[in-house]
Amino acid sequence: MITIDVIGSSSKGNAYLINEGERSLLLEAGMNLKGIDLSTTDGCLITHEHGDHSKYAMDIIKKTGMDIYLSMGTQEALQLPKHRIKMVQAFKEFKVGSWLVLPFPTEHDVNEPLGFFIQSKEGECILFATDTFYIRYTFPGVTHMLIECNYALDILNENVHSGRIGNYLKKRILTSHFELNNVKNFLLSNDLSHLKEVWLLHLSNNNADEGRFKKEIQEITGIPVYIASERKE
Amino acid sequence: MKIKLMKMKIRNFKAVKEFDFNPEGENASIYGQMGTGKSTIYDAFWFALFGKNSLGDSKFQWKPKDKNNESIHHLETEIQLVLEVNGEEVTLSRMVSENWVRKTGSSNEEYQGDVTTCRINGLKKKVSDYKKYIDSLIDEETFKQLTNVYYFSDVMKDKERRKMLFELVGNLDDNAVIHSKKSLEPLKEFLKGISVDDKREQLIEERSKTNADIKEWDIRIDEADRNIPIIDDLNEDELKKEKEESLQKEDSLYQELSTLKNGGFISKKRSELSECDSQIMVMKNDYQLNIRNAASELIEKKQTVYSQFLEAKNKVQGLYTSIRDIQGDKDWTRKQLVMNEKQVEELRNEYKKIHSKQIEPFDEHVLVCTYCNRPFDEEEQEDIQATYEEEAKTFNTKKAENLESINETGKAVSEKTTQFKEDIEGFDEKIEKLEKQSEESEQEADRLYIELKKLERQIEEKKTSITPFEETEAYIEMIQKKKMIQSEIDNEQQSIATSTVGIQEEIKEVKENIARINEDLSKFTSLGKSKERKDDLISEQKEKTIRAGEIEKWLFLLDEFTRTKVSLLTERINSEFEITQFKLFEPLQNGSLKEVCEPLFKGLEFTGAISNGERVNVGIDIINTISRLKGVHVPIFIDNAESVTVWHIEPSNQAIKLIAQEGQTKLNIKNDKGAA
Repeated sequence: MITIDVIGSSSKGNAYLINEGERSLLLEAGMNLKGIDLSTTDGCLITHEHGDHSKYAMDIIKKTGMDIYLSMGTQEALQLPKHRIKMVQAFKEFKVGSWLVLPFPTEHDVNEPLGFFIQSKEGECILFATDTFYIRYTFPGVTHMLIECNYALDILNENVHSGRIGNYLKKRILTSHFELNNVKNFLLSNDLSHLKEVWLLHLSNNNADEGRFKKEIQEITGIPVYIASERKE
Repeated sequence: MKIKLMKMKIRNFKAVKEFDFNPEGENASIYGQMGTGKSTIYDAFWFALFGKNSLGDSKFQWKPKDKNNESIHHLETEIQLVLEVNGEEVTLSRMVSENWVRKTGSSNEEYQGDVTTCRINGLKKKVSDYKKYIDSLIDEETFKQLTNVYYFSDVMKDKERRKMLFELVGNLDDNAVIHSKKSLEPLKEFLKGISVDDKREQLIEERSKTNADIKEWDIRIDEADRNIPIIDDLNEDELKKEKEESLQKEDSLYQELSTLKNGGFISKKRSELSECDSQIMVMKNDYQLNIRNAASELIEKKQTVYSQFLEAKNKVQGLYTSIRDIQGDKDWTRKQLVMNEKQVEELRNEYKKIHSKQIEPFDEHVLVCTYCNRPFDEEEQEDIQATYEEEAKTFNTKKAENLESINETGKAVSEKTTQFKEDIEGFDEKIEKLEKQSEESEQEADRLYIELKKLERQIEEKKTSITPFEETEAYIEMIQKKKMIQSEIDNEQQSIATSTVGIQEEIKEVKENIARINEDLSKFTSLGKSKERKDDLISEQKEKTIRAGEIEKWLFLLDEFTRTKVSLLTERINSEFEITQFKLFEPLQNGSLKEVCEPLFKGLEFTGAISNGERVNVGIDIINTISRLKGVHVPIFIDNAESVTVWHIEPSNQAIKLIAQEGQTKLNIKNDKGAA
């Protein structure tokens, strides 16, 4: 039985713990993990080099025994101690503890960003994709969808119109983050028959609407949808 | 303990010559301008009880002074207090007088120090007993704390203040703090009786060591990484396989080499060769045997003839020997004969000689002396004659006998001569006979010899008529066979020599290859070791990083604990006060807290930050609390009370306010109502 523990999910910082019984797997290292018990965590997967996903990687290396899994491109940017990282490649499956992980390329404005398709010991399948404006692939038997849903195009346009957001930023958002309708299309292109939970990640402060996003995704999936938000003390 | 000031009588103390103050246990205010002696009253109160001023100084100048600021001598100083102690009045007095002594023979008195006289209820007491009594009422320190509004905040040290507060209010047990919050629960097991600060200090020390270790291990890991050989182009399994193959090849080459050297083929051929030799020997023997059989009759005959020949020869020899012997006998006999004839001759000559010999005729001369020529006398003559005659007779006899012996010897010799002559004749006959026999035998031997020679010739002829073995076909065939085998051996040896060199070169190559493979393989071993070393270091470092995380977690909890404790404690202490709050902790950079004890009024610090009037208010608040908690009540002297514009709080004990008032040249006492 998988439980998802959101530590942070925004441009301020991202980190998620996937728990299965005794063991867990950490996704992203963009949050200060002070006070969080990582003694049963098998490893940390990082999708890309941006600080909101990686800035506490060194802290993890210095304060835990776990290794960090990332792409060569991400490592080139982060320059983490070689002996504490495992460089992974898209479509080359690897194991972290009893977790089986298949990395895949995502679409973001960095060097070699990855998403992860993770299979637990019990056979549950978690799809983790964030900071990508699109996903080219479909995945079989996903039980837990942890997927970015950063903005809705109409809200963004309105914000641009009202001058709240500049054109340049809009352009960047369009080519680096997942839009609500695109998320819906992506979900619909996958086999959702095993899906148990959807977690919408990394919602924009200005260009998203939690209630609406949740409702729209529930409408097409018919299963519980959670908005990932920062853990509160 | 409840003490009130009822009356106070001052004589010759500091600037006060005589002063009576009778608050009767009530609050009072004493007004006066600067220098009128407001503080002197507080000092006098102290002096009476402890022999010190209100600052605790026993050496202060309490003696009245003249205009030149010189002490006035020969005065008695006395302070008398009437106190109500737990409802009963007690009169205490301290009197000090100077001791002047006139020395014998001197008109001047000499100052010999002061004499203190203490009385309780009019009864004279030893100073030490007096002190004991006062101490039994109240100790000096508490007295200071409770009579002086500034003492706690201004005079006492932070630490002392804090200690007192915690003693009065009660400290907060760490366990109580841990139980106050669920997130702190793990600390209970973790601390195990060690104080939070000690534990924190211990963890911080460990943290810096652990972090230093982690850095150190980074360096070691880097170093181990550099020691890992590069083997990108090598494949261990392939190398092992290649090595196995090379070893097998080496083995088979060695086997080939040893087969070649031990020469299976050559030794077989060599044994064939010696087989040929022994065959030839057998053939030769057989051949010679056949030949011998063919000549055997002649040879036998030859042998018979030969033995006959030898016999004949022997016979001749024997005969010759006999002849020679007889000849010898004959020669000897002949010599004897010659010797006999010679003897005969000699005998004849002897005979003749003897026969011819005659005795000399008698010589007459002899009858005459030869010297004197005178004839001898007759008788002598006769004697001479007679001797002569005798001599003649002997002579003749001997002659006859000699002749007779010679005749006898001659006769024996002649007889022997005859014998010899006969013997010689016999010998000659024998010799002739033997010589005839020998001639016959010699003739026989010569005939046999001729026959022998003839037979030998025949045998020889027989032998030479047969082909020699060396020319027989069989022998020649054998020799050719031998030659063939030998040449085969030679060829083989030649080819072995060539192929041995080849194989040895191959072996060398294989060995070099194996050495190269071994070298490459050793890289894997050292790779394994280096990797192992690196992995070990990494896992060691991981243990340290895990520990660092744990330390961080515990420090976080300890900080949480401290925050909780601070808020609990502060809350608890502050609740004892009406207007005062205490700052009890000051956060330090390392997350721990410095223990302080700073009274605050409306969040401002007592020292410096608040007005004097506010300080007085805070002082009263503090005294009220201490007094209540200690259960000790004494009059409180509020100096500079004129600075208090607002009384936020009323003193709970009898209060004597000392108020500066311009233009009030003499002390003016006002009794206030409402003392506790």
